[in-house]
Amino acid sequence: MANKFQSKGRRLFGVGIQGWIKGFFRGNAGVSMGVIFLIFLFLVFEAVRFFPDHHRELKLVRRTGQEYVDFLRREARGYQEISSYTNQAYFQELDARFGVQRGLVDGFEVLQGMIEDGAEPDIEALAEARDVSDPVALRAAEKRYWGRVGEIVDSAERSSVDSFGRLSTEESAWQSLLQAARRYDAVEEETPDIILAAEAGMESGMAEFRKAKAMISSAGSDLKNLRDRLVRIASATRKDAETNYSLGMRKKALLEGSGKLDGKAREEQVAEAEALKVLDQFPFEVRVQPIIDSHDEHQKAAEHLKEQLKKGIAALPTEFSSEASKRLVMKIREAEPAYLEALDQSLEEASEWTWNEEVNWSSSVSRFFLGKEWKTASGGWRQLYGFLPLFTGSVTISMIALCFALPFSIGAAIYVNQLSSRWERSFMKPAIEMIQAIPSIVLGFFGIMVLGNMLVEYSDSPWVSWLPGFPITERLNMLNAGMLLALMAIPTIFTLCEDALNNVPRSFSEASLALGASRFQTVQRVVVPAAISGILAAVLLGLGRIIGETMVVLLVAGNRIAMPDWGDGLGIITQPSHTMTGIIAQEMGEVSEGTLHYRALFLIGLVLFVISLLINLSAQKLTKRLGAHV
Amino acid sequence: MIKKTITAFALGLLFSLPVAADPEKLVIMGSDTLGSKLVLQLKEAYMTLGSDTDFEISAEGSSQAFANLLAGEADIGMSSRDAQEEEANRFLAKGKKLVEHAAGWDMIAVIVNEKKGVRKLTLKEIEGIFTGDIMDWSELGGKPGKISVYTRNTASGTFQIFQRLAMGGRDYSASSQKLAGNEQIASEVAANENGIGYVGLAFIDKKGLRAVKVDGVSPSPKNKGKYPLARKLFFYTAGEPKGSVKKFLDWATKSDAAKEIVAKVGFIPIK
Repeated sequence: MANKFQSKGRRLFGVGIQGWIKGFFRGNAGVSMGVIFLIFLFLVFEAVRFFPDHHRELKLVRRTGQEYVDFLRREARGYQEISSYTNQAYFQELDARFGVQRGLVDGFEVLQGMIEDGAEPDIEALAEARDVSDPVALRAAEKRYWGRVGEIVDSAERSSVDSFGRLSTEESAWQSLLQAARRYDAVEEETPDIILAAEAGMESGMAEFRKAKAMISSAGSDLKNLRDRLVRIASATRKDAETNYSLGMRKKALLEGSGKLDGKAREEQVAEAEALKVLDQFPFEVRVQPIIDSHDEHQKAAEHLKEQLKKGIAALPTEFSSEASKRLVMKIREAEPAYLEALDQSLEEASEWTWNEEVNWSSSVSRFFLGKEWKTASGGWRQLYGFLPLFTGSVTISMIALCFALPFSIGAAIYVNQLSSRWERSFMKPAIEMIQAIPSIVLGFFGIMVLGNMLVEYSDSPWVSWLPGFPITERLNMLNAGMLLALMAIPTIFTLCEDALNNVPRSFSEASLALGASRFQTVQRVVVPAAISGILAAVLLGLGRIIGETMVVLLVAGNRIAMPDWGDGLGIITQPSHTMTGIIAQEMGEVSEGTLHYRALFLIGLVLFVISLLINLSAQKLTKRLGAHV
Repeated sequence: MIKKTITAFALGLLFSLPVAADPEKLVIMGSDTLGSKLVLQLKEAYMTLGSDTDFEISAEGSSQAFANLLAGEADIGMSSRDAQEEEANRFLAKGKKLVEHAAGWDMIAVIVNEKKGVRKLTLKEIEGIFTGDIMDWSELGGKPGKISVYTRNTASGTFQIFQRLAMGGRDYSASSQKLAGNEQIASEVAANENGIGYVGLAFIDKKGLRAVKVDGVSPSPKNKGKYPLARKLFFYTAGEPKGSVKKFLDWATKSDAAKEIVAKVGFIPIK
């Protein structure tokens, strides 16, 4: 072979034409490898610098006392959940017992608003006429006003007045509501008796529950007030510390820049730099003191919360008219001990907290990889770079996609390769492979406009509504994204699988058939087992395709950066989520080079790269094993 | 060899061609609230005035404006919030100056699904919903259902200004869903009965939506000064604008024709 490339003919620098071509091809291969290597280097270079920056950030969070305030924020959050459940239970119970009364009160409020908006000039005219007490004008104004009110009430749509249908079966109540509205005098603003009676009925009927609710919702007010105060203090410290830092940078830049100038301009710039008041050492110790001093108050507020909460929960009713309300109160009673325990633990950690303790280097790493919150908005309380919700989102979506893609693609591959007629094969294979030609943005659009709407609409039907996570309310969710990704992975897995099956020597199946096995037995016992490592490799490569896909998940997955709500069990698949690829695409546009956020995105990119690399490597390993087998 | 030289020359010509024929190009980047409707229409009108300026508009959120102005990638930044001190400092540290040009007023409308029957909310309730303190519609007197909160993503100026105006600076609830633009929020809320979100005034006329009254005031230009969630919209430049940038900005912020467009799109022109 080598001789062929040494052919005679024209030579350039002693190398023949074919030699040049060979060199060109080798160069191409080399450049591709080099580019991959450079990309990897670049990723690593940008990504690893995240950790020292993150460490600095964590240190700053400790010095400014933000870390301490986070204890309060967590404590308040858990309490808030219980308080929210209490409110829900209260209103559900109210609806069950006093639905008609509530419908009257709400409906009257809507009608009142309609009258006030729709008859505005007539109301003004009426008020004026009453002031001047001119009987003729007054009569005219009265007539116009009541006529207008009648028109408004008659034209009011039942669905918007009684928007929750609380009066849909209460015809007499509905009529008396309209009657009351027709007689409503918008100048005097007197509430009609029937509405007052309804309010009083609700008031007395729910007194016990309302008292318990009030106790629970006031239990945390001290803690929340303290939290808000400390948030303001710590935020101000943080802002001042950052300003001091950037002023220092500016001073340095001005002084450095002045070196290039001369004469007067130089003096001016130096003077400008000197005028900047930069503290060499930011007085964290002084600024964090109020937060440290608040510790006793914190303890007291927490004790108060505990006491009131226990009392309030004990005072909750035990008899319910509404199933939903009963369930919610049970949930509250179950959540109570867990919350109180978490509260005690948080208090203990808070009392051990010191502002000047060193931050572990390992926490810079672990808070990224194990952190459950990702918050990057600069206007917010503090930046949090927790990778776990993004990772969980990506993995869950990929698993959903695989669940859908596997049976279809492997089944189709086995059928097309082993069982189909030649005629079927001639159109099935290209048809499946054609799916690959759909651009992912088109799929994403389809996911939002068609699949999402279908999922929401049909998940309500009794046939499927028992499935976990059904009925679906969000049209952007992991299930939707997973189904679309499955579609994208099917051609990849199908083609590779089919290749693997094709690679099984004919003699295997011929021998099996000759021994009297049926076509199906041959496939099941001989062909598929022989191709299994190739099939697994195909699945892995499909997975690699899924996990790296960006456009579809960004558009369809719902972009909620939170750990899934595990309480839903398998139902988490219909929750929205964010992904590793999606977050890079979404936040890349806003980051300035060299910031912590910028590095964090690169680090995610690196993790993605490594994951894809591992998947591809194992696929390659598997394919090699197949080669050894056959 | 000669062939090669000719090829190289032709290639070079090919690549330099678009550059040579390029008229002045204005790169405008930033806010989706400004960029996806208003600035597009301003551009159209400006082009019909006989200007041969070319425009490149990219609207991914206000933070994009500052990042790209600083990097010199954009000539004009659009922002639906004023620049933060930290961002201004970053310009100063590089020896540049951030210059602000008011583009108009906007109101952030809080939108719910029409089927929900919720017509008004207090600021306190809005804070509760978006921070996650209030989790269910039944707490607000509505039909029970877990509230789905749709927000803009973190690059958005609306995201940050809403946090300041309506949430007392508190963090968004972890279960909020971050969408790329006003239009997406509007269509998700229109499709989800339990949804709530916020959009600029120019985006509330979608079917199936209702913009709620906030503290009793509905978002509409006539309630300017009363509606609590109003904010100014800005153009930004790095340094005082010059040449075609100045020409365009002067026209866009001061001329009557531009003010008419601002009002037509649904914002409120600066007097």
